[in-house]
Amino acid sequence: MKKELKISIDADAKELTPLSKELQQNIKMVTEELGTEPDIIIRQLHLYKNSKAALLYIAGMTDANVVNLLVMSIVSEPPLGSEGQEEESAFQTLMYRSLAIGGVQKLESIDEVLLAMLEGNTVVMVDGSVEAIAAYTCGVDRRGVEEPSTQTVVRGPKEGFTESLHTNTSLIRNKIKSTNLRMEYRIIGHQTRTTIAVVFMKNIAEEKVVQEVRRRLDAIDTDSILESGYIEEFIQDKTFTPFPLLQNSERPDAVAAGLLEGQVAIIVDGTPFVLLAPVTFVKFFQSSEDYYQRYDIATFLRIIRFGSFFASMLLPSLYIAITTFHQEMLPTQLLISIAAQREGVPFPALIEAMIMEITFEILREAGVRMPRIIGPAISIVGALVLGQSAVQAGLVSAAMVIVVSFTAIASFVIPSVNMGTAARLIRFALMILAGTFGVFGILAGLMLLLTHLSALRSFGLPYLTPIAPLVPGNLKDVFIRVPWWAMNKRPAGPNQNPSVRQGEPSSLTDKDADSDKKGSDVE
Amino acid sequence: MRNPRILAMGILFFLCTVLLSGCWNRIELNELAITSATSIDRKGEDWVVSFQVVIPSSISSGIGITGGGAGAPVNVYSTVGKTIREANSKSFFESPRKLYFAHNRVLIVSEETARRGLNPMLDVYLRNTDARETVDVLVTPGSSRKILEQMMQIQKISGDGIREINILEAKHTSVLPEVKMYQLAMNLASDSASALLPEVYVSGKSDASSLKVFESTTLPAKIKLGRVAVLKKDRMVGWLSRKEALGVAFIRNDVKNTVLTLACPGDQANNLTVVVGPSNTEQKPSLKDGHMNVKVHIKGSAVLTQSDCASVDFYKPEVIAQMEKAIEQEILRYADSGWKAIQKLQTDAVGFADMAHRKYRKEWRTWKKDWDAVFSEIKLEVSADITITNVGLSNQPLNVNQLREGK
Repeated sequence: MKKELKISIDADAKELTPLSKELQQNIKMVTEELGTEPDIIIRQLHLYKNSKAALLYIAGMTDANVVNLLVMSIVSEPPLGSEGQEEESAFQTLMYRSLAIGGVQKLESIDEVLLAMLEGNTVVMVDGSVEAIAAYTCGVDRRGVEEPSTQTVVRGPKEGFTESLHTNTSLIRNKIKSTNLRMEYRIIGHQTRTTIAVVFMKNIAEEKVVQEVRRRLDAIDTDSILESGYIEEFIQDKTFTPFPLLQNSERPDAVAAGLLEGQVAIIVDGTPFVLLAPVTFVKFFQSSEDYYQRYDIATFLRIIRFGSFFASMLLPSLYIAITTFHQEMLPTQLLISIAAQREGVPFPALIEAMIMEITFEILREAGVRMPRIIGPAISIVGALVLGQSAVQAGLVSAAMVIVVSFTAIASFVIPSVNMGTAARLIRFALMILAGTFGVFGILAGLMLLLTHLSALRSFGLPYLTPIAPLVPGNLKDVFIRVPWWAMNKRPAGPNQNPSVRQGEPSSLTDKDADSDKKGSDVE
Repeated sequence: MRNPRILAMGILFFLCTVLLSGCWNRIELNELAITSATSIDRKGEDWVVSFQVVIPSSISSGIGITGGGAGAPVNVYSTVGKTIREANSKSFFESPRKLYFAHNRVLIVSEETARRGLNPMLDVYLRNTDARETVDVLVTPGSSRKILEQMMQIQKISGDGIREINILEAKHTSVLPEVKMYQLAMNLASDSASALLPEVYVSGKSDASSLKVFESTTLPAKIKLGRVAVLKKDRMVGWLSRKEALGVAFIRNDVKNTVLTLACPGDQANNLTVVVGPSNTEQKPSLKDGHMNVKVHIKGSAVLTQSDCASVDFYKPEVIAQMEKAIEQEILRYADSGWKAIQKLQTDAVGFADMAHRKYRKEWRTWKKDWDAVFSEIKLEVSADITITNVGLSNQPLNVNQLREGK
């Protein structure tokens, strides 16, 4: 599956330098721009009738086999005297007949030539022609489709996105074989010229949202896009919030599911993390596995996830508040047990909790950054030295270690890493509130948080949909996951046209039916 | 956030929360002296308040630096003052930690204190937020501090243990009530102006205030529940024996479960034991010539748990009927003795005043002036209806000799 070759220069760019008729002149212009580094390959060929041609490409960006094929097709041109040969110029012969390659494009300026080379194409120039041919020979060595490393499931597809845009789009196309699947490419980044694909289902996604995504992407004016995180920060609705306003996934099945619910996917070349917008708070608690296993088990797991989210946010602060302000809330035996552990601990509960939480954050960060090979050493230091020894030395109480460990584990239950990070950040604020105002402070903090959450929007969609505003029909897939046969309608939200998911003829080709629903269609 | 003023305010607020930390009622767990039991004695006009303070490190085998399980689980000390709260505050002169009463399990009141009036104690408990009204109140003859000093079997903290005994007893035998502070206050403030409190005492000649007692399997002294103290207004007026107390409990409808042992029907030499419960008491007042009389009907079920009676076939309905009759008679005897006892104390411990107030409001106006006199005139008629629901797995008393003979 080869993409349509499209080499275009920004409209407002400087005037283009046209190609010369002289082949050597053109080659010289290229080498002036790109230099004569060993990876700039210029292969000169002799055609029949003494005409000359050259192949220009950058090694490593192209597929060697395809380039070989290209060379072969140029040199094995039909000999002089074949029918119709006379009328064609050498350029036309190559362009329209003999190049054994799928995608070709005519280039008219040296700037286009350079771009085409930088994107991994092979440029074929013919002496005496002011036009050149870009042949699609892109073939960067990239890792194959592997299991996603961050979003793993027990049951479900084991394939994940890769760094290659085209692999990623093909993974999605393989999931959704519909004519309504649209992929719009654009290039962002003046220097990096990163290809970005906006993917959506024409008949499901709300046109307004797609328009908004296009608008925001087009407004980006930056030098470089190296990862989808760049895009995320540029296009999210609000910057000052710990909560993620765009979902990211490295699972094609999750992205396909999102597309089928009306979300718009943004694929960035060079990263396996695909963005999905708009997104709601509850989306971050849905794992794609929820839909692959029994609904009752999925429901149970989902409730566990919500519980863990609140535990990871609240547990240390509740511990601080109760042990320093509201001791009467504890059962007597527990109170005595905790009091016994706290005997000899020199710090107030708040400081104790802060020490342990920050220690854990450091450990976690170290675990992510350190070379894999020293992992076990860090684990021993973390678990034994900081856990057990700290308790034995009387620096922290055992109960606090339990609270912090449980909190840490709970924060990893949330399927979305960035939502877990949000919970971790909020935890510290709540701990300070708990240490100063007790449960009252926690409650005040939670009220603030709720206000903040209800004020958030993701591409115009209220973040707490379907809880606030309440959309009763959508509650089938929030705290509980009803069986598939009961989810007849798509959740209202990203797609404001509540469309039927089951129970009516497939909408694979009924374009009329949905252009009626939506009114104006841009495509 | 765009507004720098708001941002500045936010930062200021945040800094305040950090800097002002500790200004409020924040207190760390290891700054608390968790009091598990309190007792109140009188010494002349002064109040002597004793505290049983839990030493957490010797209760819980924590792995902190202090280790665990070595010393005494609790520490007992007393303070003296003109008022209870003054005595409490004296603890600041000797305790390294602030006394903490939210987990106080029992309050032991000496008989003398109870006889001299409990109003100040009620005031302290109902006025202060840190003292819980859900504390169990018990009375002890003699020094109440001595109760706090005793070690107890199984339970390390005797304050907690006394509460557990009290709850367990109230649930399974219903002889002694479990009375919480707010119930005591409500009972004393009601029309009948009386309350019952369980008695706790130290049985045995020596005492068990040292950890050394655990070196032997028998405790030299034990904490036990005894009789029931009767309070009128806020003063204690006398004791009810266990038999009387159970009778009163039957009349008051306080019996959840109880165990009765009575002579076999037609065989006075041997006994049988039944568990009565659940039982329900219906009180029906009636008015005759300006005098109130009360009919009390006790209805309940019973389960036979032991029978030493000579061969009786419990599968015969007439035997069961006979036995039910015997149980009913026994209950009537209990109720009668209880009634006589409280009549003698001239204390309306059964709460008839409230019933009279509700039922005969017109007469109540005159009665309330001298309720004691009216109360002593009340004629009580007790009837009982007990159904035996279960006689156990064997219908006849087990007799090994008969079994051996292959009968």
